[in-house]
Amino acid sequence: MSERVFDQELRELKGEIAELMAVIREAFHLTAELLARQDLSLADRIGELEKKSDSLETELQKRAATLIALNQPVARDLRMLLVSMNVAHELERIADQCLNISQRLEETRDALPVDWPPEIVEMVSRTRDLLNSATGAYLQNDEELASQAIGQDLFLDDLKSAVMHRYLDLINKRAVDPARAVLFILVSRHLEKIGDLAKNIAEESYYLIRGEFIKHLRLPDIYH
Amino acid sequence: MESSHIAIPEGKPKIQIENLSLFYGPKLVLNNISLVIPENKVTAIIGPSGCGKSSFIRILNRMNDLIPEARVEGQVWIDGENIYDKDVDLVALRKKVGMVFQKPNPFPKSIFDNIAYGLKIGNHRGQAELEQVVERSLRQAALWDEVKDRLHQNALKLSGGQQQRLCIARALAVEPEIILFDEPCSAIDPIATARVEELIHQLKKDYTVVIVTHNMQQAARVSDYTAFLWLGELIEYDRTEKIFTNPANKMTEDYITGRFG
Amino acid sequence: MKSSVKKSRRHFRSQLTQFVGFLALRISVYSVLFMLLYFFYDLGSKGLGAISWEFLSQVPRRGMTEGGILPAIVGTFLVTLITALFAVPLGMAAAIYLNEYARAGRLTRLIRLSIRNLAGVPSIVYGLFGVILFVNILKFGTSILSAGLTLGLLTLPWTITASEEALKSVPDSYREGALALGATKWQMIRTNVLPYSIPGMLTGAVLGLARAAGETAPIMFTGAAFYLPFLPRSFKDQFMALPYHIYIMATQHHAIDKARFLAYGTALVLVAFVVLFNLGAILVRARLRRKWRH
Repeated sequence: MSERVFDQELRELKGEIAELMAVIREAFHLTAELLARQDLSLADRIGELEKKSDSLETELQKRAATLIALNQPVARDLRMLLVSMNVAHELERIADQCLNISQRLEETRDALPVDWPPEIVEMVSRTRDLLNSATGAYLQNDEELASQAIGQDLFLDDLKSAVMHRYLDLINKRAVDPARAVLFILVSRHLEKIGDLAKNIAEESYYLIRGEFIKHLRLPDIYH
Repeated sequence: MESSHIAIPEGKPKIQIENLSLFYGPKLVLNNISLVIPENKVTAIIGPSGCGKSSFIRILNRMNDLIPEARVEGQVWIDGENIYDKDVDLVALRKKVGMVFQKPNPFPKSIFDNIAYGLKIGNHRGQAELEQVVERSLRQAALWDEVKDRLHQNALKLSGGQQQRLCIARALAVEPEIILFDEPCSAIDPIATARVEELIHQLKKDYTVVIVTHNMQQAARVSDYTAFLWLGELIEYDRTEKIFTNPANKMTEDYITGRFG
Repeated sequence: MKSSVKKSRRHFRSQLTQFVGFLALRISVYSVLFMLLYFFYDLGSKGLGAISWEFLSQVPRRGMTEGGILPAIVGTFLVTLITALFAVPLGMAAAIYLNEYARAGRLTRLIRLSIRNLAGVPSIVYGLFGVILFVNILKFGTSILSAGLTLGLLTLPWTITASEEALKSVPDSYREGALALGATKWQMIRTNVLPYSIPGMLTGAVLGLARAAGETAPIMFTGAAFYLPFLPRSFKDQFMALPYHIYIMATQHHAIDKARFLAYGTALVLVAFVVLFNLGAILVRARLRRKWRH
């Protein structure tokens, strides 16, 4: 089996995805910091990273489209390109969500500082894990990590629902500052969304590795 | 070597090959191949040069019989009849299983006589019927409009792509049930290739098509099922979409992605 | 460093070698052409004077020093006819068998080898063989028939080989194409092989016949007569033949000086006969070609 020029090009593409992933991880890290320290000066940096991820994604999409047009890839090569395009798109949307969180905080700067409900603290840490698993699955062709990530997402759903129900209830009972409650609900939704996007990356990675779609599978199917 | 992944296609089987081996003298060309070719579908045989794919397709109309040292083991059933039985009428077999060759091979006769050749050597028919069949076959091969005003011109004057469609029309004229294509586009230009591929798509409505090709994109474009042969072995046989998105065998993957072959 | 595309010394050296090589080739072609032209000039200048209507239409008189050579012309024509009738169909049939039917094996190889070798057997040996087989065993006597058949044997290897070459020149794709459409082997040969190989076969046959028409040795013992002042009445008769007549006139005649002039005339007639023969073949072939390559 010989190394093709195309292999080199695919590696470069993967390198670009890795770069984009690093940007996203940093953006998420800053977002987590922002949530913890509630230091709004971090928001600018998140905005910059979001712009950077935007341009990186555009670059990647163009490059992948060119590679498809010029090489008419099949089988794993084709999956690699399709998956990379989708993953790039999902990554860029994660950056958007990070930006959204920082904007939510800025919008409610008068309500700050706040004590985050434990669910949200939990969500931050779980989302980080999920993001790490999903990007790891893609970068290391690790189908185990992909399955893990898909499983982790379900907890985020539950946590988000918990936050939402609790604070809607409290709003109804007028037992909480509505601005604060809305902030919690929105942040939990953004985090859940990030988790969802990361899960998509994991699913794409699973397709890349196995050639099969894992979407709509239930947990028992994955954990046999 | 990884174990081969052989799927039994859905649909009515037209050709069933069981434990087929082919020898040229002492040389093993095809090794113990079993597969089922479904009716009214296009089945592509791919593989690197010398993998035995052309030999394989020539098994199906017994053109290998022309090679004196060729020896076949195993069974090839077409509609439930083993074509390697002693009482098989080769003439009837070859009328049922038509073939289009790698290089367009029109006979140096008129276009009309080329198409009518198969009928003329069979039970002779009236001129009116010949004319009918010639027109029908040329229309089927999407060549009629280009040649209808010069049916009595020599077929060698046609372009390469037209010649190949002429050969397809000639094969169709004897009303076969199966058509074998042995790398039909390797000697014609891309535009002509596209037309032939289009034609193959049309043909599967009425015929069972088996096509040997070294052009993997072509296999991907025209076929429903794809068999990958390597050094006389059937490595993988599956739905074409499966082979080209997610082949089960590493060797198939390496071949179709151009890593060897 | 970039290489220069200007003419270098090496270039001139290779040009010189090429020039010398081509010159040598050109000289050999010109010398062959010269010899041929000289041959025709010599033959024409010495023989043309002998040609007259009388020479072509009269029987020889006065010990062949007067009159014409009509019996020799007729004799050569008839003998060549017998040769053609015998050797051409047989040669074609043998070639078809060898090329289309015979399985490649030791026997076929042996047969081919024998045919090639027969082509190299000296013509006098054919003459002796003809005497034994046709004259004595088959009791055809010394006759046009015996001589024609002997010449037929002589031409057979050439006809077979030429016919086989003609068959080989028909692309296999014509054969495969026909078989794949459900033709039987004979249908394939008849409709898709023979039509395209007949021109080549004819060319080979004519070249063989032209050579046979000029042979002396094989007919000397089997039918050609020294001097017959009348035309043959049947194929069992003896005959005069142009080449034998030349031989006699040039070497065996009692009045060699008188006869030499006539020998040249006869030679001219023989050459004309052969040229006409070839010309006829070329015309036939061109017509056949046109028929399927229009």
